[in-house]
Amino acid sequence: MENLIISKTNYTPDINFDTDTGILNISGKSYPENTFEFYTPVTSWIAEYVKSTNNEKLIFNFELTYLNSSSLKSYFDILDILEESHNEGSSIEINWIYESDDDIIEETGEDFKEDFESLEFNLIAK
Amino acid sequence: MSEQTREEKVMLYSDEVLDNIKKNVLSKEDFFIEYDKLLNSYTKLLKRYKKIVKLSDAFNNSLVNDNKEISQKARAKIMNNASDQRKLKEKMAISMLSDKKQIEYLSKSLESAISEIRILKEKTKVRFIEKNKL
Repeated sequence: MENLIISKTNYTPDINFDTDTGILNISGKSYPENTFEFYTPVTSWIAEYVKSTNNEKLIFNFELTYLNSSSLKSYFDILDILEESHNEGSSIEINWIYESDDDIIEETGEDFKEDFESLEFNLIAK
Repeated sequence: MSEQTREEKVMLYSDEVLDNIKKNVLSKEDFFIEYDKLLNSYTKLLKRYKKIVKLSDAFNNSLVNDNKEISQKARAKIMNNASDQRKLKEKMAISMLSDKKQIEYLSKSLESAISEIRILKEKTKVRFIEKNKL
């Protein structure tokens, strides 16, 4: 499968999914003009990718600084896919990276962690 | 084709359960099990919905506060610039005044120097004539 690379804009995050390393990074702000249009190819790519891997470890690094409500919903959708894949035997690690003084992003990570109990979900303060 | 979301899956599952109830293929025991599953799913979705609303409000409030802070800083900067500009204008006015005085002083000095030169020239002329007479 080809890598998924989407450069960041003022409204959308930088997305870099490297299939060689199994490390997937998403960083930046997320308040696209049309969130579902932006995230649908991303969720489809992730769903296809996790299905195509042979249980090798996948690391997802999320380093977001701002999410609007529809982006929050999209990340719930992405994590749903990852949880389902994990329940089917994939090894998935999620790193939720945030600035130590950013309470809202920390709280967002805590809420995701609570919702996806079965996933290895690490909250990492910078 | 895009992946089904959890909401879509729950709705699809609800439809299946409803179909089975209509077809009368569910025993009373199974019915309660299915009902319990659906209730759990809806409860989770409601919890998630509340989280999205709560976080969205928090992000929105932080954005409003950041905007307020930025506009206050911008206003303060404008005020400082205006005050700096006023001070600069005052300094320039003082400097212009002193330049004017300096010009007046130099003009007077020049005039007096010219008149002194004129007197000296006259004196030299007179001395030259007297010397020639002798």
